[in-house]
Amino acid sequence: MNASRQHALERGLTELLGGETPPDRTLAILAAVQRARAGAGPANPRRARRWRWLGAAAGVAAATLAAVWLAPAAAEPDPPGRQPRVSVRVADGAVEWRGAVARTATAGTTFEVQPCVGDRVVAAPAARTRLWLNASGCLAMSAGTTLEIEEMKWQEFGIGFGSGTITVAVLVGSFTWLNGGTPVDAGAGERRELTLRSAQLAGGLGATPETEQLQRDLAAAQAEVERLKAERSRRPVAEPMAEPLAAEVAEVEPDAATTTPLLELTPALDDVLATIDWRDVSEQSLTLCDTLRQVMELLAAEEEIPHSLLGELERLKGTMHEYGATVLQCELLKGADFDTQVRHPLMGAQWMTAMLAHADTPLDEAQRLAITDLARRYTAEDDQRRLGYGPQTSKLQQYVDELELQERFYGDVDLMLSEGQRALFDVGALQGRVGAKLVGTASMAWGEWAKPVAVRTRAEFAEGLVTGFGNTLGLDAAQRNAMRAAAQQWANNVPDEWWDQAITVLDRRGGHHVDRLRAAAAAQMRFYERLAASGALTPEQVDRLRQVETLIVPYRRE
Amino acid sequence: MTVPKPEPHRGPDALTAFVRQHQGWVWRYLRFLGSDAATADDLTQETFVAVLRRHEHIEPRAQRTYLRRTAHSLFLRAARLRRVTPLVEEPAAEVAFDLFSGSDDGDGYLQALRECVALLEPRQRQALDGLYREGIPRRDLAARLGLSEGGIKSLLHRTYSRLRHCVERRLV
Repeated sequence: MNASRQHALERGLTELLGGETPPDRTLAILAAVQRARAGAGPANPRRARRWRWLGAAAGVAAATLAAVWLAPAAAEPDPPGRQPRVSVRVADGAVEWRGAVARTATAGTTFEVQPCVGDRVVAAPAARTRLWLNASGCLAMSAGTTLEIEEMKWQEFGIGFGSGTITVAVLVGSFTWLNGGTPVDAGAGERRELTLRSAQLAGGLGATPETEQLQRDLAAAQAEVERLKAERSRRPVAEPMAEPLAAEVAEVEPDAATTTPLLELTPALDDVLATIDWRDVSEQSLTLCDTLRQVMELLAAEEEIPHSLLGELERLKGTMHEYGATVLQCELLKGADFDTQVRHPLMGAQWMTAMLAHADTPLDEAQRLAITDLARRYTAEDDQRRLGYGPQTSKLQQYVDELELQERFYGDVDLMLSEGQRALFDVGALQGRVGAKLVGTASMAWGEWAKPVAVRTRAEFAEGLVTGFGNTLGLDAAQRNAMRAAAQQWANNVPDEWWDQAITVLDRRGGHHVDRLRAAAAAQMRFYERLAASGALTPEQVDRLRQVETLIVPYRRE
Repeated sequence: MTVPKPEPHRGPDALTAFVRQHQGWVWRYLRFLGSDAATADDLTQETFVAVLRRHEHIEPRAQRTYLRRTAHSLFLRAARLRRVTPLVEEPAAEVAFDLFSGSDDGDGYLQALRECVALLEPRQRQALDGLYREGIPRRDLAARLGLSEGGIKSLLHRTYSRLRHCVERRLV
């Protein structure tokens, strides 16, 4: 204590007599934050990548949009005073349109506005609000969102329909814009262009097969929104943090039956969470940590793993699966697989809380608060991520996105822990490899889908791809030949350094370098993109390709 | 000075207010942990970037913890990279920072210290001025005050002790 008192005094004297005061670096920090955000691209950077490979094969909906929007983009913006009228249907929540004439509307009502630069659109403060604009796009706003129209470009085509873009800035909250093409989302401080068609076109003048397909895509998007909304209604926590946490915490009575402090994450989960024996789960998890540590260290040293250790590992995995089965009852994400649910931020946060409590290094109140907040925010981000998926999104892309999000979540949680707490989850000196952490399991999950493919040459790898994918997709000889160029390109782009060292026992056992897995996933996605663009596959085969979950990781074989 | 209640930061103005409100104490915290001033500048910036890069809204009650934990982790990471051994043991630095900050980000502590320094004897004041204002090494300071090295050490020890007690009485 004396050392602390002396340190505080000396720091105080340094400020008082030495004139050292904290500098005001607000502007520099803000600039750095803006740079970081700009560098990260859109709010969910993977969304852009996710859809990019579908660009050529996104179907007629995308083609329709391109046809409709490319022409107006080159045209001069409409002069002020000739703005279009926009039909607004409030599907959920309520909205206040603050323009030349203020309008307020609730769910189920429709009104028309003539939007102008400077107009503000304010969503209901306590509920998510969805607006259909000209029946051509759905604007889903989180509770309390405020948007401001910054710019408008409009083109009338003289045959009863027009199209254009509205640039909106998010002053508060966030939104997602769905119009059958690439979903657009934005958070506070960001601005986005929303593409819009005129009411006349939506009313039927352009009833071409393309626009009908667009309407079907929109209906599918709306159905997805409804599905997620229904899920969210069972999980009130999934909404972005609109209400003060204190109010929610006050409403939740702690479960007296459990000796483990549960995070107050979502009342809907309480019943199921209370049935879990957290003491047992924690003890088994901690033992699993120790066992994994031993196994990984033996693997790193290229030593044999005793059968007794492997047996113990299997026993512990069995226990963890029992725990996972209980987690599945929560139906945190309906239809999602075991791993996805167990590693979900809400469950991960609770699991870590329990483990730390039983390891006598419990979270303090401030840590609980911070980790609860992280779990909630990442859950909201995860919901947004799922909202952006369509039937054309590949399984692999979804896994990659999920793992990236979980890596970031567990990375941020890691920052909240003390050194002692952090050490509890370290599984040995495997920095940068799958399995380096027990919690932060996203890195372990990378290994679950990764399949090491050991080959001698690039040509052998390319041929293996043709054979493997050819068999999986049921390709005929001509299609396999058409695939060969894309496969060879993948093989040629495998980094030279990957061939420098042959596959190790650790690699074979799933202890891949995480960076290698990321690079492999990106290469595989590019391969999909080329295949889809080649036109060699039938629509059914393209669908089958999207269902392939295995991540192929090439290694050199001795 | 009263510290304004933290509010969720939403929108550019609120973001600016958030950074302005917290950047000072984050920098000071890093100095308490043992960062030099330039490193504290860098790490303060990195802390805010890490926290704000992806999230627009942080639960108000979690803001300080989130920033402090992040700064702490970045400090340790930087210390490891530079192979720097902190001058003060980590737990002691944490306690010292809490002691100093109190509920007003250190304003109360500094005010109490200012009053206590004014009550010091001239010789004690001279010693502190030489050490903190002018940055004179102890050996040179001893010569200036006509003391041996043991003498200056003893003088400073008494001065520090007196100041600690004085400040803590006032804070109570």
